[in-house]
Amino acid sequence: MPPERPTMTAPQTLPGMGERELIARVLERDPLAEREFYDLHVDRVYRLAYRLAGDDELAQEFTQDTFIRAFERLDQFRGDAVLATWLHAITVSVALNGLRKVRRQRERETDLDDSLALPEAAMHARLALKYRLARAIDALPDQYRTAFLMHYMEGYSHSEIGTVLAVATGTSKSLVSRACTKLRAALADTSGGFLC
Amino acid sequence: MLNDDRFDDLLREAANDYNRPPETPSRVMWSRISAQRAWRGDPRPRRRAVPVAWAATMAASLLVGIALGRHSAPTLDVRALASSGAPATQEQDGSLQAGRSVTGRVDEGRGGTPQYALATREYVRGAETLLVRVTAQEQPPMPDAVVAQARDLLLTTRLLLDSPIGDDPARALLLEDLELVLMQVSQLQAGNEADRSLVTEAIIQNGLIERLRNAGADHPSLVQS
Repeated sequence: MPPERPTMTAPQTLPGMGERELIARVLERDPLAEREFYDLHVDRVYRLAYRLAGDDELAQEFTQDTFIRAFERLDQFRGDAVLATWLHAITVSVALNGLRKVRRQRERETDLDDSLALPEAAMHARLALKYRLARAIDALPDQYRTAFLMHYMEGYSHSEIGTVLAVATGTSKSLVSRACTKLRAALADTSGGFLC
Repeated sequence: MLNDDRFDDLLREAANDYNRPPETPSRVMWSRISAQRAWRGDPRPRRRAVPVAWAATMAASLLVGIALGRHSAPTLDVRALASSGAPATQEQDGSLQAGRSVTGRVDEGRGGTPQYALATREYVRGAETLLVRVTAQEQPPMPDAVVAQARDLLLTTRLLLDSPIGDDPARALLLEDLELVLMQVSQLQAGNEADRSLVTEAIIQNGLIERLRNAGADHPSLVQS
């Protein structure tokens, strides 16, 4: 049974202004419309970037790049997807590419963290397990991790995830399911009583 | 081995804790996005290396400025007028205004002072005049007086942004765009025409002069909610 997804509300344009009108005004370089576009979407874009990056500085960088690209490429938006989904696809692309660039450095930092980590026995059992789970999520392949984070943590539907990752809805379900399987395997040596 | 229910419970918990985002730093990111878009619009590739580094410095300075602005007490005319107990005015001409005092106290229902209205009008006019001088092609190098004026206006801009005026998205947008440009002008160095041309481009691309003129005239849409 999948976990309950947090309730998410789609961004709404201001009263009296539809998405198409807003896009048209942004394409005309109306500065107010650009800011409105940004205000409507920045929260979810930043949240998604942060979930993927786990770092405020990187999340800000990815968010900024997302909007800069979006403004540059908005004329290529055909309207066959929800604007937010199109924007989140850019976010995921920017974030995954950015994370690949910093991966080596991050791996070095992870090694350092490992050496400084508290002995598991010294930590509260539940906390230790969550820590291990977080590490296991970090270690998931990009697509698994992205689908898992979007579904479990940001409340995206499989249909939305499919659009963002350019895969079928069923594939999104499979990605999330396999992510869970991998996480379970990563914690396989944990006894059932460890949680309590 | 974890059973399914416990594992699902654990995932729910992890969903709450894993990479939990802080509050979105919306305003800071927008400032950087605006700056980067202005630089990216520059068609001269050889100058790109300079503006990228310069933009980063500007952004850092902006952050410091915001932090300082919130904890300092600049002695400006607008502040003096407001802190003397004078509430902000509801102007009929559409220029910058607030329903509350500049110091943040709610003064709804009270009339504004002519002094405050005058101060905001002077701010708008001063900013417009400065931007026109910066963008004027025929008068390089940049006079020191313009740079000094930009610094003065920058303080007033921050004061206005931290006042209830800054709560209005349209007014805040104009003031934020102005703040970024004023900061860039205030750091211009004599003879650096490359940087000046980039500032000019940012002013033009953001339509700042026109928006200021609208703000000071009978076109309130850009500054009035």
